[in-house]
Amino acid sequence: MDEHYQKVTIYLPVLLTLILGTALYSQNMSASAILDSMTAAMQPVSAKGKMEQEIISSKNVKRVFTFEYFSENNGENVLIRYLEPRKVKNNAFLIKNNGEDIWVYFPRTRRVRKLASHAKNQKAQGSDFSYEDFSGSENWKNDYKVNLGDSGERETYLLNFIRKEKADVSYNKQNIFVDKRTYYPHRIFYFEDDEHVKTLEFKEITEIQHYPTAQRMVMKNHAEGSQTEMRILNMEYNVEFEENFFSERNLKK
Amino acid sequence: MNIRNDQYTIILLLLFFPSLGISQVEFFGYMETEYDWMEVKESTYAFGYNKLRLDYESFPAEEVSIRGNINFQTYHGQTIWEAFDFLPFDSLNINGEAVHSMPISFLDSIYMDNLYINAAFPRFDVTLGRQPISLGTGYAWNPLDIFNQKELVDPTYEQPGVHAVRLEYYINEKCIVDFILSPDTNFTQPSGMIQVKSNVASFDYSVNVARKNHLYPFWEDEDTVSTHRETSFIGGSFTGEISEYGMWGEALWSLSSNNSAGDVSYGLDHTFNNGLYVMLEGYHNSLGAEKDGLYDFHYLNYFSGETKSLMQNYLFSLLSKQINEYVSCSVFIFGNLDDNSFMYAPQLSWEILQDVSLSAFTAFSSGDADSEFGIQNQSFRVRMRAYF
Repeated sequence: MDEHYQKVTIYLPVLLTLILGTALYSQNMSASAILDSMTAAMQPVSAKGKMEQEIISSKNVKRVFTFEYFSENNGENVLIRYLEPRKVKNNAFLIKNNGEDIWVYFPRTRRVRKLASHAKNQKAQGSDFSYEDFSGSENWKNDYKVNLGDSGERETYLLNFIRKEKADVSYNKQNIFVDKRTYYPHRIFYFEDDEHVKTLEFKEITEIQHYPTAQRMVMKNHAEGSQTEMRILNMEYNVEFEENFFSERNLKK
Repeated sequence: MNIRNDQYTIILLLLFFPSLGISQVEFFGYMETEYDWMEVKESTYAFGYNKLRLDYESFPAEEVSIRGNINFQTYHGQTIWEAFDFLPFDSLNINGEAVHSMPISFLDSIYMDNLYINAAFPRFDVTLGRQPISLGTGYAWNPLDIFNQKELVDPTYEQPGVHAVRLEYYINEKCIVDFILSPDTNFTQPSGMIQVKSNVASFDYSVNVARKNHLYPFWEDEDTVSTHRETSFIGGSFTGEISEYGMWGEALWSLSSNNSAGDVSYGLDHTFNNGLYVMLEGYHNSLGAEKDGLYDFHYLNYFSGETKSLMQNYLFSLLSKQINEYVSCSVFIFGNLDDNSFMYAPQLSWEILQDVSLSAFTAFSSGDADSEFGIQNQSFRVRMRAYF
């Protein structure tokens, strides 16, 4: 009995240290592993589709925009071309290098203008999405430190993102609640100067070509009391684009 | 009702409408109405217009598009203006005869502003016909744009179409060579430009060469009678940013050693975290009048579009802020640095409905009564545009 007790007293702390150490280590691993799984789940290599964007103002006035959406390299390059309303028909944006370079095309003048990055945090077509929000998932890895928090929910992980020093992004923090089963995000909290300014919710998640896809994404702007809902009208993944598709030439088509 | 360029319009209609007929044509456009009041020199003008722009586009084949628009414009209020109300003198000596009145009439009109066909080939695009061309990186001035002239009070308003043949050759994803040839009425002295566009890091740049029948300052060549000559130009542009400050510049300068003339623009902008946008642009035009060297012909050259500015040095600034989802306000301040006259123009824009916008603009001036902007005391403009 004494011998057994002695063994337990010797081995238990070692075992606990090993278990806790492994757990702590795996928790750090998990944050980046979860992020990898999440970006793989939510951003197929390439995509092509048609989406609808409904902006609801703080005074409940609704406006609907329809646009074509093309992306490649996990969202590194994105092309958006507006179809409706008539006012912005054929206006187009080319966003490259994860939002580092943005060009906008105005069809009435057939003019292409490069937007400086200080415009990245401005509203895209008056919506609650900024140009930066369309940037690819690489920004999470490049511009933020990530750690795992307690979501307080059984079905989600909580990823906390803290902006790296010198990172050129407007949100200083982001919290992402990730589904434990599919690794698809449920919602994202955006913080500016530690103030929770926007929430993006992913709704009606269905599978398209084995990728979980939110048919509706709702961005709520807490500062202005407005919200913008993106709805997928059709979407196709792993599309092979012709060479130089994401170029000024295609922007003007 | 006046039909502008009627022969040209009919030929183009005969050529292109059959092809529009064989494929689905989409029509869209806008209706715009504007009311203006202005006090200039000792006169006041109250006027306005209604404009219907009917755009159409058709895709007769996968890589071929036909686009164009027809404009219907009616004027109301004061439709005959006196040019001397906008000049600091009351008469002009033309061919030894003193002219005291130069009326300008605004007639109701139907005109085809653009009608062009675009064909895309594996490495290049060709665009033929009367088409929108907009070159350069500047906001208020574009030295590289030898085909258009901007209005300082409305620099982003669509430009008239340009008769041209344009070939854009795509060397790779980053490099485009652009050839533009615009014939004159006799096809004897066309204007042309070759532009090579590319980018390095966060900067886009272009290198340009151009040739056009250009104003040739007679004060630089006393033997010449003509004030125009075929002149070659070289130029370039850049746009990019450093530390979140956008910057751009462009220049076009003649290659002739005894007719060194050209213009340069440069600008800087920034958007603050609270959404306030600030922009500043400068301009120098060597063909404009020098300080204390302003003569009648400078006005004639400027108003006829031969030069892009009356004098040599200008400044344009813009502050704008989105007040809420649908209302934005901006203030334009621009001026002539040579005669120290300035315009201050606040503007309010309201997106009334999804496709309907309303803007109100007022302008005040400072400077001597005979200065470029000081002569225009004040003005007010309301414009409504509905897209369909």
